[in-house]
Formats: sequence, C-alpha cells, structure tokens
Amino acid sequence: MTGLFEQRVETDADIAPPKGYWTGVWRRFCKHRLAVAGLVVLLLLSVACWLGPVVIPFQFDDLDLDHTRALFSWQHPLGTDELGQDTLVRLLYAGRVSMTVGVAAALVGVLVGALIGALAGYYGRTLDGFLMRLADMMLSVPVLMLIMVLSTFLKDRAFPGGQIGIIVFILGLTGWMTVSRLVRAEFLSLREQEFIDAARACGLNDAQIILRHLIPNALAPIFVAATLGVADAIMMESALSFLGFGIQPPVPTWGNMLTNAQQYMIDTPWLAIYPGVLIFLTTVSVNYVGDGLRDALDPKLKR
Amino acid sequence: MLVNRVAALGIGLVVAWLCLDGCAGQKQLQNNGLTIIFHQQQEPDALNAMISDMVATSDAVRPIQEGLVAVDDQLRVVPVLATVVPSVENGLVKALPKGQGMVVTWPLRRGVTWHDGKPFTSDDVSFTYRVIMHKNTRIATRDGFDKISRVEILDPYTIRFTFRQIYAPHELLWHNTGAILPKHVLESYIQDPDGDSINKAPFNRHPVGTGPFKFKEWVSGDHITMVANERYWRGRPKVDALTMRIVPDENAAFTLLKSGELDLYQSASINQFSALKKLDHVRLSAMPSLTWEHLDFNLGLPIFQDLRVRRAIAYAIDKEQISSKIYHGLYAVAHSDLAPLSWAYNRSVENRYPHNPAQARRLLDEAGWHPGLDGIRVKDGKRFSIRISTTAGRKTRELTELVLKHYLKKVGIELVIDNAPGAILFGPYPTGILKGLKFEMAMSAWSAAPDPDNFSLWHSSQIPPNGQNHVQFRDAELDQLLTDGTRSLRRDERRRIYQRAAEILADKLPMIPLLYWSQLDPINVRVRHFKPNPSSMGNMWNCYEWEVDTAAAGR
Amino acid sequence: MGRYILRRVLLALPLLLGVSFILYVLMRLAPGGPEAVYGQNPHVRAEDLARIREQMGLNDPIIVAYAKWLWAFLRGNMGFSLFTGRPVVAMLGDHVPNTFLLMGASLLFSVSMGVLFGVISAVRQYSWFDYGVTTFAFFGYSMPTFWFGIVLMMVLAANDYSFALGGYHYETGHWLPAAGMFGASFDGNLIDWLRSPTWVGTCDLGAHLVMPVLVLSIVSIASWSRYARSSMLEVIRADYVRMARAKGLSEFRVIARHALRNAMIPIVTLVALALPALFAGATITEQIFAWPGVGRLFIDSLGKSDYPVVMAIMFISAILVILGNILADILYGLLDPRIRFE
Repeated sequence: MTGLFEQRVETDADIAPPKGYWTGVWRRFCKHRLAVAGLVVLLLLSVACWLGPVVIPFQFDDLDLDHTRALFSWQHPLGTDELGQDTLVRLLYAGRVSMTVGVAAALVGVLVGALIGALAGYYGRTLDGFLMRLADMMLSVPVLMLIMVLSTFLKDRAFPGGQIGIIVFILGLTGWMTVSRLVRAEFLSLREQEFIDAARACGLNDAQIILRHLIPNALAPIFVAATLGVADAIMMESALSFLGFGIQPPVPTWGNMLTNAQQYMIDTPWLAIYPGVLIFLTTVSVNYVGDGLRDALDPKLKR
Repeated sequence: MLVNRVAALGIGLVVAWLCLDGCAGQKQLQNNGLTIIFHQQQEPDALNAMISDMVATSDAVRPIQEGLVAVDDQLRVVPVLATVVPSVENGLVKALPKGQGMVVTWPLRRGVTWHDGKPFTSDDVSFTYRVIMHKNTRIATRDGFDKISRVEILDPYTIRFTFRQIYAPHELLWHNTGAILPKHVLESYIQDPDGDSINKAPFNRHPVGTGPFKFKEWVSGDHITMVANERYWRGRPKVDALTMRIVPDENAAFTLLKSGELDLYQSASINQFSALKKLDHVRLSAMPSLTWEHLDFNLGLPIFQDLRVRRAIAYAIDKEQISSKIYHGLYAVAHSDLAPLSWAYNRSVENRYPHNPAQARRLLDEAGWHPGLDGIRVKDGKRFSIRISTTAGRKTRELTELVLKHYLKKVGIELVIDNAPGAILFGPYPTGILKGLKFEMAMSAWSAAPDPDNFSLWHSSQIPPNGQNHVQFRDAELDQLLTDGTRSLRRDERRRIYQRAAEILADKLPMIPLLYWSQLDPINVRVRHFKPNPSSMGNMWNCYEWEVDTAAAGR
Repeated sequence: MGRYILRRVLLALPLLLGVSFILYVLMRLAPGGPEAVYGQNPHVRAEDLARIREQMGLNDPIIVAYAKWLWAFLRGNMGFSLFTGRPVVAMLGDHVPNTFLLMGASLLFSVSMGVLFGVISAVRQYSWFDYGVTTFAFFGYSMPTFWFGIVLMMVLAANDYSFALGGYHYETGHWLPAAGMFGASFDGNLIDWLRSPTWVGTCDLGAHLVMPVLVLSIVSIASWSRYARSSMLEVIRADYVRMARAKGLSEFRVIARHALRNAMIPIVTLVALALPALFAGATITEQIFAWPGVGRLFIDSLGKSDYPVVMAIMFISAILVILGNILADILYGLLDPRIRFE
C-alpha cells in the first residue's frame, strides 16, 4: 500500500525539474561575474558581522567617555563615536541586526505573498477576487504612511522578538503584494498546463499539487523578489530610523547609525560614511545576486 | 565626436548653473537690506496664541500682538499695554477681607492703535477675557482665568478684575495666551454661545495687533512675513521687515545660516556647536533657560519607595560629566525644580548628591540589594533591572540614557532602554506612558514659568488622571506649602514657602533634576540688540529694538 | 470601453470604503492622540484636557466619528484641522501645487534621463556604457534618500571651495540655495508666481528646485533605466525590427521609429502608475529641503495626530493609486491593439 504511494510520488518527481537543474542554475549563475562578486561580498560581510563582535574585545555598548569621536587608532581601527563606543564593533553588530531584519522581512513578505498568490492563482474566482482586492487595498495606501501608522499602533505592545520583531512584521506585512501578484500570474498560466492535469489524474490533492508542482515552477520570480526584498527592507529600515520609527538605541542598525551620524555630518562626516558605504555595498551586492539569479533560474526571463 | 558632445553638454550645464547662481547672488543682495530672517523648526498652527500652544506660534505672534505685560530677559514682569504692573505695593492689588479673594486694577496705555487704525481700549481687554472663557475656544488652559469672578470696565483706559481667591501670579495671565485681541475684528465670532467659529476665524491666519510689526503674508510651510508698523507706540522699529522661515531639518538650517540666507537660527542643535563656533559671521549666544531636564521615578513601584534606593541612584550619576560630554558644558547642572534666575531659588539644595559611586553602593547594600552573579544586584530573588523611557529620536536624550546605563551598571543596576515617540510618551491618560503610569524611570523636561508655582507637578491631588504628578509624590507638608504658595500676595512669604518646598524635594527626591537646558541661538553679526529671553516670551520679545548693522560683514 | 471604465470605477468604490475605514480605526486606536501636544505644558490640567477632548470631538464612538469624517470628506471641505481650524481642503490647496511642481519636475527629468540611458544601454548591450548604467542604477537603488540629500546640500550649498571662472571670482561655495522654495526676493506663493512670473522669481524657483529634484531623480532614474532597458531588449529582437533592418533602414531610424515606439508602451503605463506621487509627494526629501509640500504636511499632521488632515491625505492617495491603475490599464489597451477590454 505504502509502496504504491511512494511509487506515485517518484513518478511525480520526474515531472518536477530534473536533478541536473540546480547544477545548471549554478553554472549559469557563475557566468554572471558581478553576481558572483556580490555573493562573495555578502558572504564576507556576514562572516565579519557574526564573527567580528565575538573576536573584538569591546561590546557594542561599552562607553569610553575619555576617548570620544576619535578618528582611528590601533585600539579602535575605525575610531569611536560621540560616547567613545567602538565604531567597528558597532558597525558589525549593526550588520547582524540590519541583515537579520532584511532577510527576515523579505522571508515574511515572500511567504505571505507566495501563499496569497498561490491561493488566488490556484483557486481563482471569488477567493482570487477577494485576495487581489486586498492586495490592491494595500498597494493603494502609500507604504511609508501605512508603516508609520502601524508602528505607532504596535509600539508598546508585547511582540515576539521585541522591536526587531515589530519592524520585521510591519515590513513583511507591507511587502508581500508584488510577490503575490507574480506568483498568482505564474500559477494562472501553469495550472492550465497538461502536467497539472496529469498530477490531478494521479489523485494528488490540492496541497500536494501546489507544493510539489506549482511552487517549484514559480521559484524564479519568488527568488528574485526575495533577494530584492532584502535590499528593500534594509533601505526601508534606514528610512524609518530617519523618521524616528525604526529600531531604537542602544541596538545599532546601519540605518539608525546613519541617522544618528547625520547630526554630526558637519563635524565628523566619517561616522556617516561607514554605515552608508555598508548599506550601499550590501544592497548593491544583493541586487547583483538577484540579477544573476534571475538569469540563472529561468533563461526565459532574461531579457 | 563623443568628446565634443560631452563638452557641449558640460558647457551648457555650467552656463545654466551660472544663470541660476547669478539669481542667487541677487537674492543675497536683497537679503542685506533691512529684513531680518529668523528660523523656526515647526510651522505655527495659527497666528493666535490663544488657540495654538506652540513655541512657533508664540514666536510668530510676538512681533504682531501684545499683552498687558511682558517678561524681560531678566525674568522681570514689565508693563506693555498697561502703564504699570499692579501690585500690593502700588495699591492696584487689594486682598478682600475674610479670604474672599482679591481685586486687581489695570491702568491701560493711552494712544495705542490697532494695525487697522482703531484705538485700543479696555473693551478689548474685557473682550479677550470673554474669548478665553467662551465654551468652545480651543485654549490650552484656563488655569488662573477661571478664578476671575467679575470684570468691570471703569473707563476706556482702566479695567478691574475680581478674583474668587488670592491668586499670586495673576499678572502673568496677560503675557502669552492672554495677548489682547481686537474686539472690533473678532466680536462676531463669539456671538453664538455654542459656535466654535473663533477657532476657524480668518483672523487666525491674518492677525491684527498692536505690536511693532504688521502681518503681511503667510506662505504655508515656507515663511511668514511681517512689516514695520509705522505708528507703533514705541516708535517705528528700526528694521523694515521680519520673516520667519520654516526649516524642519537642522542641517538645512545650519547651511542657510552659513550661507547668509538666515540671520537667526533658533534653538540650534547642540550637536552643531563646534561647527557653529567656526562660522566667523555668526555670534553664538547660549542662554540658560527655565527648562529643566529630570529623571523621574515611578513611586508607585515598591522598588522606588525606598528612599535609599533613590538617593543611591542620585549618587551614582555624574551630572557634570553628562553636561560636559553630551552638552558641551552648555547645559548647567540642575539641583532644583526652579531656575537659579528665579526669585524663589534656594541655593542651599545645591550639590546635596555629589557623584559618589561608593556611597551609592553603600546605600544599596543597606537597602538589602546585594550584587548577584552577573554583577547586577538582587533582593528577594528579584534582579535590579529597570526600564527607562524618554522621547525616541531625541539624540541628546538617547545619549544621556546610554551614559546613565553606564553609571548605574557600575553600582549594580541594570537599565533597559525603552523609548517612545513624543506623542506616546506624553500622551493622555490612560494610553500615554507617563500619564498612564506605564514607566519605571523616565527622562523628560518641564518648562518652568517665571512664577515658581509647581502645584500641578507635586501636589498629591495632581496624580494622573487628575494632573501632571506622574511620579506620584505624596507629602503632606509639601501639599500644604503648594496650596499656600499661590494664596499669598507677599513676595517674601512666598519665597520662604518655595524655598522650603525645594528642601523637601531635594530631601525626599521624587525625581532627580539633571540639567537646565540652554538655548543655543546663533545669529548673524549684522543683527544688533538681540537679547535672548529664557521665558516663554521667546527671543522676539524685544524685536522692536533690533537693528541691522549694514557695515557688518554679514556674508 | 465606457462600460469597462464604469465597471472598474464601481468595483473600486467598496474597496476605497474599506480602506478608509481600516485606516481610520487604526489611526484612532494608535496610542497618543491630539491631546499629547499639551502633555508637556504643566499648566494644562485634567479639566482642560477633558474640555479639549470634547471640543475636538474625541469622545464620540469611533464609528460615529468615522461617519462624521466621511460625510465631511464627501461634502468637499474634508473637515476642519484639529489644530489650525482651517478646512482641510484649503490646507491641501496650499501644499498640493508645490508638491505637484516638485514631483512633476523630477518625474519629467527622471523619465527622460532613464529612458535615454535605458535605450542606449539596450542598443549597446554588454558594452561599458551598459555596465555603467546598470551599476549606476543599483547605486541609485541603494542610496538612502536623506543621506544623499544632506551630502548634496553640504557640497552644493555650503562648502568652502573658492575658484575663479570667466573673470568672476567665487568666494565661497554657496552655489545653490540650501532649502525652501522661494528666496527673500519673492513674495507670495507658487500661485502668485504663476499669475505674474518674473525673471528673478523664475530663476530663484529653478535654483531651489535643483537639489530636491536631483535627490528624487537619482533613485527613479535608476528604475526607469532598468525598465526601459528590458523593454527595449525585448522589442529589439522582435521580428518586425529585424524586418525593418533587413529593408535597409538606417540603424537610427530602426531604433527611433520602429523599436522605441513599441518599447514605450510599458513605460507609458508605468508613468500612469507613478502619477499618484504627484499628489502624495516625498516625505523625506520635502523634510530635508524644507519644501512646503504634501509630504511635509502629512508628517507634521501625523506627529500631532491631526486626524482629519492625515486621513484626507491617505485617502486621496489611495483614490489616486486606484485611478492610476485604471488609467494604466486603459492606456495599455489603447496603445497595444492586441489587448481587448473584457
């Protein structure tokens, strides 16, 4: 009995992308030189951010009030800020937070978006109408405004993950619409194709069809949207910090470090340059990786 | 070929830019005229101090409208539309027998006209009182005005107010929100006892006053311009016009000051201090203000009900270092809820809690808080970990919190930062963090009036939702003192009362005064007779004296 | 066609009603509120706050307050601001033209530059120019607006360089006015300038526009050039373009007459989608450059919880986004004959 079912699952796997698929993707990805460079930069940055604060003998919130706004020294290679906190360790720690926020928010956005897009695209009709109206509704309100209202609303409420959780939730909640539209469009065209009919004929239920057959085929736009979502979330967090709605001190993020530094732009511009460069480097790398992924995952998409 | 095109494009851009720059130069030339341009970070809601409780409003209204009195830069109350400030000494204030209240007679200035030519009389003063008490006037507070029981017009230049009870700071009712309004312009707006048209009157955007400058135009979000009043009773002001420019970003304000597009950059960011010092066409004045920053305890929490704990925290903090490291030494260390400039200030409370971490540790040991494994003190299994809240986004406050965290860690107390935007921190009961008593420790500032009365901050009847005593301080002696304080008309008696109140506050320590704010007002050297004013009068209080020195290199 | 538009508009109505209700409830449930403005004045007593609440109508149940707001909005004056006492429509009237000018100028600039860059990089695919544009685009995407704005201001409006050019000595680098919309040379607002444009006023306005437009454009030039590039690449390989080339037409003619026209279809619809921003403005850029636009009005009003103003701005933007969507679909149908309206 079970054997029969396993047999069936095996057959389905043949309809899904062939085994050599990922090798091909990787090969095509490697052809995109800038994308590879971006991936390397991202890996290096992550390693530095997660290992750095462990190795460096300062905490990100250690004060040294006798050595404030130092330029650089052996002790503090990137200098110190207005309270004598070590800029390097703060930057690296901030990198953890910013990248976590970016990745988590993009994940939430993509998961929500893929789910909604899948449901809308697969079932169509009323559900589709309702979900797409919901997306229209979200799209019709200026995102920054919605985020500001939401964060005033959520502030001061118990939330998993504290303020980082709130930011991730808000960014995810306001960032799923593009993904859901992409996934829905993909599903609308896929569900009419023969291999889905075949799967249905094999007796698979809706959940199995969606998870095993439709999602793998819609991966390309999802992946690309996810990578771009990471960059968007990092940028959005810094914009929110500027408006006073972001993650609050003492937890550093690149966004709030940049915001704080803009008050000292006239005196100590380097405090603004470091986080600015890191945000730039990360988002550019992420964008290149996304670009490379798009070309690699689906040659059709390459325009 | 390509090179040629790029060159052509470049030349085109340079030419375009020179054109634009030429215009900019022309504009600067006009700027050197007799117009003084001052800055405000926010836009006023309305040009009527009665319905808009903002610093920006008071700045914009000050040159246009006048009150019966003003507060000068030494915090003295001086007559403006009145000829003399009534007091017991000059016989114009009389206490009624059997504590039935008091009578205040105001002699008014003759020969003052409104900007539209109509004469100013006691009718206008009585009308202003009627507007304040109108049911739907959106005034921030009627505190004091609601103690007036009768208004009598004795003659066109004399008016008499009868108060239900003795109210010592009565003259200060007439300097800010009580700026006199023209009856002949606004009378029709308060005819309907249930209407609220006074809040919507066109006057609020196009005011008529008796002041040295006449309103000219208000371009929303950009600037408000006023021109010299030729018939001003003190004589025509020496400059032709004043312009208020609304510039929300402090880097932009700095840049405008640097380039000479702005003469006065008010309440400049303290973080720009060293950069401002480098501008040679700018004079920096740092004026100690009446606003004092303080660290509040939530006395509703058992942990803070122990006086030794509160004192330990006071000893742990190095106010001098906060002042020098974060505020460039511009903010003076505070010891009391009254400013040293105040006539009721008590010098004996100064330096009662000098920086002394050893003493702090001793007090905490005494109170039963002993260091735990991680260095944080523990009592009955509870770690000494306390949340602190302040305005999110206020850079200097956020820095101060980090330093406080650092100090308290050294004596074994953990401080967890939990800030909120101003609207939530100062929000109303029950959602606001302070008024809703949802804080553990908080850092904020109160702005003191020239009068030392702080009844609403410390009296036990003023604990939220009733008032502003969110630290929930209860002290029978202080309650009595604060009640007596406004019921006496004698300065020496009042001084004794408030000095004793300061003793109690320093002793029982419901909050720790940290620093007095300083107003940093960089101004172009070409402006003369600028005298910053620490009270709520603001810097415009003597704008009728301001002059432009055309010879000074104002850039 | 007419029926299609009517149907779309009718479908949008319940959607908008839903949006407005959710926004209103969210806004009212947020902690804080308009009374917080008085929270730092020690002389405002509990009785004063109670009176102010009553005067501002904050004691009404949310449903009633929402109905009152909606009625005021529909009647046209959009209610009265809680703080200025002015009709919201008058306040918008002061700010909308300024935002329209700023956003219009930057849309025009960024679309034309973006299309130019995008087309060239598509025609010269994988050339240095193409790589340059791609990098620039990512650079634009990754630049936090406020940071770029402040850097630009410091370089162009207040630097310490001096140089001589054409016999003219520039003492300091006050090359452009730092912020604001009009300098001291001009009285009145944008409408006054439109009524009687003077040369000085025009130059002045232009000079004040340069920096905010640059800041807004750097991000959008990036995305426009990406869109234009991909749309052009798709068209350039199409059979009819090869056909045109085969006929022996010059490369310029092929690109300009045949390819560009069709490549512009998606761009035009995207422009239609960008139109609502002409109203909503740019919060951060307006804040930095003290531009008196709708974005600043919004953030000021949100800070004070001036409910009628906040609601009006959000709701009008929502309406415009939906209208922009409909317009984009219609344009797409008009420009591309292969598409028919259902």
